[in-house]
Amino acid sequence: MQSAIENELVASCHAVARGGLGVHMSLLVMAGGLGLDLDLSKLPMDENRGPLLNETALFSESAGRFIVTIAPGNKQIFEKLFKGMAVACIGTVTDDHNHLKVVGLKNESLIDLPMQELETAFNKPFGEMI
Amino acid sequence: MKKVNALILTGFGLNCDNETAHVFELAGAMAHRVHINAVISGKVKLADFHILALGGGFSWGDDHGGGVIQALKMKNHIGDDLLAFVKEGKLMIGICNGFQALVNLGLLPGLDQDYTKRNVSVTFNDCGNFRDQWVHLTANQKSPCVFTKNIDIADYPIRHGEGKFIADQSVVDALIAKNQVVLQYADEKGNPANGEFPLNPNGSMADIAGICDGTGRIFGLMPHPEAYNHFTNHPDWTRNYQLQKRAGKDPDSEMTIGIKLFKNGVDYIKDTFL
Repeated sequence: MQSAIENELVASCHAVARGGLGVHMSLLVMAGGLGLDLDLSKLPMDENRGPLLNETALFSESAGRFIVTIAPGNKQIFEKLFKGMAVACIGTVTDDHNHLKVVGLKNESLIDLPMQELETAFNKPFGEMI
Repeated sequence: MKKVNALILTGFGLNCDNETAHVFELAGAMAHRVHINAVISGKVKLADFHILALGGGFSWGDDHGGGVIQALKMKNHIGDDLLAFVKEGKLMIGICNGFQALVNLGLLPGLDQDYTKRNVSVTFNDCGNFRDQWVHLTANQKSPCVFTKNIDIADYPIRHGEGKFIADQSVVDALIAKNQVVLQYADEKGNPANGEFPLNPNGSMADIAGICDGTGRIFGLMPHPEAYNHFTNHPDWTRNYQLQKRAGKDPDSEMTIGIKLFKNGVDYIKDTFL
């Protein structure tokens, strides 16, 4: 990853931490001001561990993972660099909309939230309580 | 060539002096970080400088309100020196805690050239807690403020618990009429925030984020322009970097608004004094 960053192969790189993938994808939308179309069925999976649940995919906080965004021109060379590792393209950044759109493991629409709503939640973590 | 000398106060809980000095250097000045006591004792003379910066922090732990004790201490010991400094046509900038100190000193707003009257307060945020966020600000093009020349709408970071600008309505009206309201909270397109949180992060009257005196040479603001001294300070920098890069431009070629604001002050001194 260090090499990918140093060679500016990635447009952004974000660690998955507290809250899991769903939260950190939201942060990605807010940071970029752009929409995200994601498909959880494309996540790299370990077949030996049985089927994955949408909830697990979205909220697991397993460490050591990164979300990266890559300009289309860098895709091939990035994938070559990460050959043999659990890496997959799970969606696209878009300026067609500014929503976080997530499709679940059974191809069902799970999340469709505009950036403004994500930002409100992010900026007012205690809602109207304070 | 003679240098523009900027004095940045330190000590007693002020904490943005290194960053403020850094941005003054980037803007072409010689920055001197000096402890308040050194100015009070006379070891360092205010008269030797062109710009006085009262930076951010929590002087005296915000006891009795942000900037209150700093203002009293400065007024008590070097009040006349400060007034002489103003009279000479030199520049003062008060940022965050420094802004609070300037209004408590009465150097701002300085209505009717009275630089001792305290008729504005910067107090606890309406939201009830400390805010650390970025804001959009519009700069009043008709304002005499020398620091905001050629600056329009821009983003700045804020970090304060006491940033709500209040005054008698007649004072606010006078400040607006005299174009002493320099910076106001706005949305990303530059429309007034109209008090709406979090665009206006503290509930300031008339969305006021910064004011100047009648001459435009004393300037106080709650946001921290010194903390926007590099393009990577901005929360959207990763996106902007990619946009610039993919358009074949150098993302680091332009001066940030934060540096521009200080450079306006430094250039004013160069034109006027050197």
